[in-house]
Amino acid sequence: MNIKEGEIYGFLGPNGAGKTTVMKMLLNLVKPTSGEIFIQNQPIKPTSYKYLKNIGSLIEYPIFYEELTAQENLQMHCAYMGYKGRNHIKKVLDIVALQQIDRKKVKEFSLGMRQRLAIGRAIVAKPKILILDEPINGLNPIGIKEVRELLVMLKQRYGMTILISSHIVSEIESIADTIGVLKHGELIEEISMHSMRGKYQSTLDIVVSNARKAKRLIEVNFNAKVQILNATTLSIQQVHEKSSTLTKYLIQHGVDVDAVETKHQSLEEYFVKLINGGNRYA
Amino acid sequence: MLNLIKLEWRKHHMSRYFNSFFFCVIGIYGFVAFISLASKNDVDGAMGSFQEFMTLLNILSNITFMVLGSVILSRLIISEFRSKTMQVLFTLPYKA
Repeated sequence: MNIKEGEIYGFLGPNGAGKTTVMKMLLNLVKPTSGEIFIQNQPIKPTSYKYLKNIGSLIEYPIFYEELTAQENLQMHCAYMGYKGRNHIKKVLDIVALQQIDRKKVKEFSLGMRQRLAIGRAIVAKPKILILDEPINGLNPIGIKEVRELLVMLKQRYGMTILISSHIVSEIESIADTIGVLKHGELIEEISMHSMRGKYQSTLDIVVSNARKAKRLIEVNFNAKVQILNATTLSIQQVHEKSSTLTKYLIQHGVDVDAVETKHQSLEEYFVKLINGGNRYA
Repeated sequence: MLNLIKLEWRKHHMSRYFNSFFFCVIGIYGFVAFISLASKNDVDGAMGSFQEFMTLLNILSNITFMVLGSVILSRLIISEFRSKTMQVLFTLPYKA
């Protein structure tokens, strides 16, 4: 598994594949039985600990000191990491949208608030690497959007390397640069989003006035695979022409075109195909 | 190392144990002194000598401070494991 500096790496896999275990191995919480780990070109031995200064993490469930407030929790974390900054904590609380909680102890927080505080704790010491295990678990849609924007901002402004694992494939699809898929503890595929989009040709969905005539015309002239979805909709695979050429041709030959849509194969379909790989159950 | 000890002190608000300590000391000493004063002029007083006084004081303070020590130990160490905050502490850049 290779993660480049400054990119967002999405870690996907079915339940029990070993995503959390891999993240724990990176943090030296779990020692590998074989193999090597290199972080920032330094090998990780069972006794290494100095490299942890540059890593912020959220593993499994967000855990805090229940009797302290959010501010105190973050202050303790900064003090432990050796990070000095008076107003920084307030800024971080603003970024994760946890402003109005001055006197509340963490034991009174909801899951969404804890999740946001955990993300805040991961970023408060300005790490170079961020390891997040299902960070959007338990957040409402606004929270998910905010986390997505936050991660993209961190990558672009601070150049942080982010390793994020999630079950919600569409979220990973929108922000990740590289995807790694884990199944039964094995990395079965590691592919960049760019080449994934290029690998699978797009399909065109066209809404026309006469589907059968259009199908005949296209098959004869363009040698593409055409499927009729219903009386007015066609789905064209393996198309090498631009959609404008096809549309012009159809209109010139008397078929009205109402809508043309180019569909890329989504990450979700790719992922499901990969994981199932012919088996009935993931 | 001293910094780490200071941080743990702050985190668990250890200064409140000073209160308990003072009250324990005053309580034990007052109790034993009261027993001996009350039976000062009796023929078979409770306290035959300084030795007995000190023995009772010794036993009582052993009991109290052993309990206080275990409570502090349980709060400092066992609760960290129980609430799983120990996992967070292991991800910090300190020698394990």
